[in-house]
Amino acid sequence: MTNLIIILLSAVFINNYVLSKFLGICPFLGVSKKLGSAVGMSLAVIFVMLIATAVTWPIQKYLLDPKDLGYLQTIVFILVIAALVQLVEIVLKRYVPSLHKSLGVYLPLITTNCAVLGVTILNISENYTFLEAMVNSLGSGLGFMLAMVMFSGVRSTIEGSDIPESFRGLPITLIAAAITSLSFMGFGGVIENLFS
Amino acid sequence: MKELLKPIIVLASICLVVTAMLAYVNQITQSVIIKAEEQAAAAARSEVLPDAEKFEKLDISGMPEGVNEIYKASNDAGYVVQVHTKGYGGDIKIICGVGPDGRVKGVKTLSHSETTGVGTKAVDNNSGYRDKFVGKDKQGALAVDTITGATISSTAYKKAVAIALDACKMAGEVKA
Amino acid sequence: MRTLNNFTKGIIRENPVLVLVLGTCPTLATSTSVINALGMGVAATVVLLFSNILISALRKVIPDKVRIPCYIVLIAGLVTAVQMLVKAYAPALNDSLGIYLPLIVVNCIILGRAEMFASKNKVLASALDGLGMGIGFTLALFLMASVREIFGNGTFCGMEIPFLVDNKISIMTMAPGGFLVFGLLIACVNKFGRHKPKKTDFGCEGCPQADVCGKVCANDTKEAVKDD
Repeated sequence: MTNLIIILLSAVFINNYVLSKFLGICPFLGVSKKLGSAVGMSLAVIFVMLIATAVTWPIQKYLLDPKDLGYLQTIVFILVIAALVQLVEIVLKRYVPSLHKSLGVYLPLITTNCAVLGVTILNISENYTFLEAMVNSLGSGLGFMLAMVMFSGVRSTIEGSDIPESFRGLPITLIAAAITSLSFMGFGGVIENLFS
Repeated sequence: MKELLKPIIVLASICLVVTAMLAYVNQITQSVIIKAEEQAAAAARSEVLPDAEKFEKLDISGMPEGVNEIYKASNDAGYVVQVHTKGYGGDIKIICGVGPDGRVKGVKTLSHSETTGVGTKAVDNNSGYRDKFVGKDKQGALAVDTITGATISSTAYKKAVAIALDACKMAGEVKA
Repeated sequence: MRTLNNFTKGIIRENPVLVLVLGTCPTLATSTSVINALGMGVAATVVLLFSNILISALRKVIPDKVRIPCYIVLIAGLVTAVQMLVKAYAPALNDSLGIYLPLIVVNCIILGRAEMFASKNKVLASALDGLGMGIGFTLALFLMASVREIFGNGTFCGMEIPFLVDNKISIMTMAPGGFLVFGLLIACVNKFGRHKPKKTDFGCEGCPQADVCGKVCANDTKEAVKDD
């Protein structure tokens, strides 16, 4: 149990996908302008990460590994994720239109989001059990959400300030991201010592 | 009908061709990868137990949990054990050379996923932490100071060394 | 002349990283040391070159409906092949690039060039475009990695630099340093670039994948315009 909590907390705070592993930077910079879109995008990412892990983990362990086809990992995973995203969109549209309305637009963005492919590959390479893999995916998704939501707040503050011309737009956003990431490094020792 | 079939056929044939190409590349590189991995493993073994001339892999059942492989030096210079323990970010894999007196000759981290700047203070091969274990027995290894702020990583590292020492003790008793 | 232009535009004028702002994830993640950056750059360039050639050659065969899955399969196949070759002949590089090697698949530069250029142009032009973009990507990575390695680790390609090696700014090689250096580099490009930055903000409107990935950003932009 402690093990699972450590995985969850470190995925959220320490190995934060956006701020320390640099995965999913595009949506982090692109969709974090408005709090609403930031939350919507993150929810869609958490959702897809969980489903993708639930599907790719068994595929790797019970299909690719026994047949010695580990080298097909990348190609199989990306196709599965792409197909899943399509499927989820169709199912949501048909049966849960309200959810589709809020998440739908973000779903197609996720196919080529490296955070999702990243989490599925890392779950395998870290040798996680199925439960650990699911917890890690949840944590990674939550970490993504935390970074997105926090950062959308930071950005709304930036919008209203007077910035030197060369720094307007992306550069100042990146520098703000650097400071946000710096603040996350403070978590470094905390969780490591929580359970020892 | 043609409109419906064509995309399916094209996509399927592209998948087929790509998979065939990958199978071919895999066939070529597989042996090279295995050879390179073996070379790296052999180099790591001689690094932690320089006195050994040749290694022979032992196959002993009932090894402590975490032991991946154990090798015996052919000239009785000791044993080399490959161990993994759960660190903070994932598995820490180390290789540990143990002399015939049951004391550590050398330790090396093979792979880890600890946090840069925190856990790496313990597991990084250049951090100097591994030198603290040289010459220690199990009691001594477990008494090495943990690193402040990297308790889980250094505890896992110490545990791995202790497991390696246990494994050698067992192997010595079995006299394979 | 126009053919040559396909090659040179990617290097500076339309540099994929510093001007088009694509492929930010690998840029930030693998620029911790010069060797890593060059390895990543070369690997991505090889994939980009071959994916552009293949997609351009197959552009008449691939039906419009399934083009994205087809591109993804081709790119993933190439990436896996490159990954196996790196594993076999440069295992140290494989260890240090780790997860970012398979993640070349989702590098938006590659899918972006496939969709924007290779699917509409002849094979030679696409090959040159791919090569140019790849070199531009490598160059930007090299630039970032140089700054980060020299100041963060006091070394360049592993060679120690006197004075700096005793006064490391370790944060440069860590995550925040990546964002910081990237932000400063883009600010420099804005300041000294011959073209004034057209885009005032980062968003999907500048991304060649905007069509592929949906309308979310278009909506965002519209709202932003309304707000103004």
